[in-house]
Amino acid sequence: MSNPLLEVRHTKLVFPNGQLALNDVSCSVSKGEILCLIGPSGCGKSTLLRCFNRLAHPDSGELLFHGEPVPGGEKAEAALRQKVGMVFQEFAIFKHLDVLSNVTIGPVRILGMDPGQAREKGMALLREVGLAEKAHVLSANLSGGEKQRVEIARCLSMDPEVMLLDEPTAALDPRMTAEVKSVIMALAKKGMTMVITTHDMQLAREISSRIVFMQNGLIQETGTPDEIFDHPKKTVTRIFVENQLSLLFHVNSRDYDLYNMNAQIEWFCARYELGKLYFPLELLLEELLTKVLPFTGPVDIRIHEAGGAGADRNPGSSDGPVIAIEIEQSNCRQPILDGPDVDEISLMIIRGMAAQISEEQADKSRLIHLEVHG
Amino acid sequence: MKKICLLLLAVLLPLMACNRPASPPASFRDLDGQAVGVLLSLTQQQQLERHINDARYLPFEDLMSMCLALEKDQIRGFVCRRPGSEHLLQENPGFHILPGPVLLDTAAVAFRQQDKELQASFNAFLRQIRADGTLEAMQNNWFAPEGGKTPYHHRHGPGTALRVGIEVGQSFFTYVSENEEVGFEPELILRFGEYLGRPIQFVEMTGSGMVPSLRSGRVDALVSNINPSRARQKDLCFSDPYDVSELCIIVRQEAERQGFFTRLGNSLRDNILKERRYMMILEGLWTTLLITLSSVLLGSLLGILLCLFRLSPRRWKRRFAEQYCSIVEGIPILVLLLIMFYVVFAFTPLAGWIVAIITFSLHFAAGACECFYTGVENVTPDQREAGLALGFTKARMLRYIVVPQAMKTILPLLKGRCITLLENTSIVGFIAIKDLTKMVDIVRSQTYDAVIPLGILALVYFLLTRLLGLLLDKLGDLYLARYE
Repeated sequence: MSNPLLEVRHTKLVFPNGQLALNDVSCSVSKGEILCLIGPSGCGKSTLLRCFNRLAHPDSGELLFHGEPVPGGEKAEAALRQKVGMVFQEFAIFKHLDVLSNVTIGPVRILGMDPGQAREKGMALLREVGLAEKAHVLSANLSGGEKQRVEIARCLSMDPEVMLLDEPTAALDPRMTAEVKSVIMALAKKGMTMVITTHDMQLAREISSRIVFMQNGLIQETGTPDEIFDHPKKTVTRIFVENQLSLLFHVNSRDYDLYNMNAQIEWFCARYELGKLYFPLELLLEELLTKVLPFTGPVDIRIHEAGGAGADRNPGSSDGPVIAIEIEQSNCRQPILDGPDVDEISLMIIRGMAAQISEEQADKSRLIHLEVHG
Repeated sequence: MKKICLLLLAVLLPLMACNRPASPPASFRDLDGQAVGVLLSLTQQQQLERHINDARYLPFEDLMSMCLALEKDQIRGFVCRRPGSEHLLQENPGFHILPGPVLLDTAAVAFRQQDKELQASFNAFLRQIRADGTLEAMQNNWFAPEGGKTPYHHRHGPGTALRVGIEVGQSFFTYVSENEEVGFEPELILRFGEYLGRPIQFVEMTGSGMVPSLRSGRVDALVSNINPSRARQKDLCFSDPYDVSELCIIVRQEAERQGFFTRLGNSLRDNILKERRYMMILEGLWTTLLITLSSVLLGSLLGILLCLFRLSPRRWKRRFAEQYCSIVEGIPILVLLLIMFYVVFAFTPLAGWIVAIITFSLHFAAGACECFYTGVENVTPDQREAGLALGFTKARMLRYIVVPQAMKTILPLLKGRCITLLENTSIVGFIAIKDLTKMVDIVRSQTYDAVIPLGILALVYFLLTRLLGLLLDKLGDLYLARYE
């Protein structure tokens, strides 16, 4: 591997509340590399990202830029941040400025660029992210996706060598996510060095040259997307990846929030390009939850694409996606689908929609497996 | 313009509407159980009680207010000194002296207990002018109808000035002409100054502020028709009486009234043009503006400091700022002003207007601190972080990101505070500062006209607040435009 451009070594950081955020973490990114940090919430990936530009001050450890240690002090940090740009999750674009001024304030006020020149450059950047038309709109009047693109343009206005993106799509709906994703993809094609934290496995898989999986303030596993998603070495990695690609519900009674569940199913189907599959899924779950399951205890439901991550699918093949549904009814020893009290009509609907149905006893609960074909 | 007309109407109409006819009292007995006005500085009550049963005595600050109250039938009569009352009767057609028994009132100069020497020399001076006939000439000059009312001009001697508290608007005892205190009492004091070989500095004040001022050493003597009654002597010491004059009760009977516009025209001429009174009003306006603008500037600077304290990570600084704001905001501004003037700065040579600026600055600082704090709190942390992440140093991040955003919240809030401050400065008359309100009060005391000066005063304040508001809006726009 070539010399790392930006590197943290043996970084340790404890939050004021005593929680250990980073436990002796070392991580580096080389020129042109796109590094994705993944892991459950609170695993320390955002903190690690903020250590790369010293927005977070670790208790111990080193930060090297171009192989040189970055000294402490405000001046040196400001100089580092001019070269290591950052894009925030909650689109922190400057509220008092219009779109163009957001993109020119850095060059003019920090780099001392001539305002006219900065405006020209700003317009070029806005064209790049597709927002030249909105140059004189105040930030309050932009959509989330637009705000995030302005922030990317603002970051680019400083000509950074590395860009840090903190969950760039987490606060966006699927359509806006697509807008922002394509801008990030375009940057990747131009060879921008990036470090991205994300929950979006799709994004991580498509864009990154290397993925770092973190848990409990430690780097658990590092590898190419294929290694992490398809052949993880550690069990924790496999469980995390599988859960990320699944939809999980925990239902306590028949009076569950139907609309919330349906919205999540639709979001899941949109995210993994499962088309209209959300319709049979919703119907199936509604029948099961309202008519069939006895609710002897809480029910856990897991929906995932059979055979692993979504990107495995061959777009050319005629086979549609296959969705597996696993339902666990706790505190139950009686057969459910073949039981005596089952609602006949519901059962007919379920059998009509599911391609494959099986039921088994596990310890104290009943497990039902269903498969829906697209 | 429409607004201004409406405002004038709103002020004038209620004042004009309350004229209702009443049968005038014919003797002292007719005032039994009625409201009678008396001056705070006089103590005529015991004498009157022998002639009138159960009258309600309403204390007034000055003669002017009593005239107005009588005009509006809030009182049925008031007590004043006979000498010089002719002038008052001339100015107010319909007022006349109630016939009845003769009451006498004495007037003396008040000194502090420890100033016995001053008291003794005044008594010696009084004996001298009484013996050589000067006193009688003075009385003829000021009180006799045919008297020349010639002001006496003092030749300034060297040495420290003798500060004398006087109350203007006491008819020919003390009044203001061409912006100078004239009358019987000023002449008496000026002559006393010559006798002592010291220059005289008059300090104009109102009835309730006089005794505290003398006690706290802001003045060395009080000359204001003060009756050396036994109750008063406990605190202070008095000279021999320099005047024994007759008291009378003034009542009103319906007089023929002039048309509204004639009265308005006469009134405007008397109150503004005559004796160049507009100069007094302009001088008051300048004082009001000086106090307001200085306090806004000083108070804002202090407010910024307080706000930095409130945002500080140090607990004691935050506590200090919070306590300061809650204490200062919890005291009425008038009370604060009186405390500052009569207690905190009582024994310092600071002039009244400086004390006023200090007080209003301290008060404004608390309000401004709240405004700044609200503004800065409204800037979310992600904005600061984004500024730092872009490569700003902390100070420049504050200047280019936090302050412009906070200003959007701060400016409208601060504008409201400034206007309130401007209006609040109208109370500085309580510590003998001649601001706009006080100057108009003095004009009223000369012209015995309440309605028009008050209307003008309201109008001037209204225009001032509008102007100040527009000015601040403009400044705010200019500031914000720099960052957009």
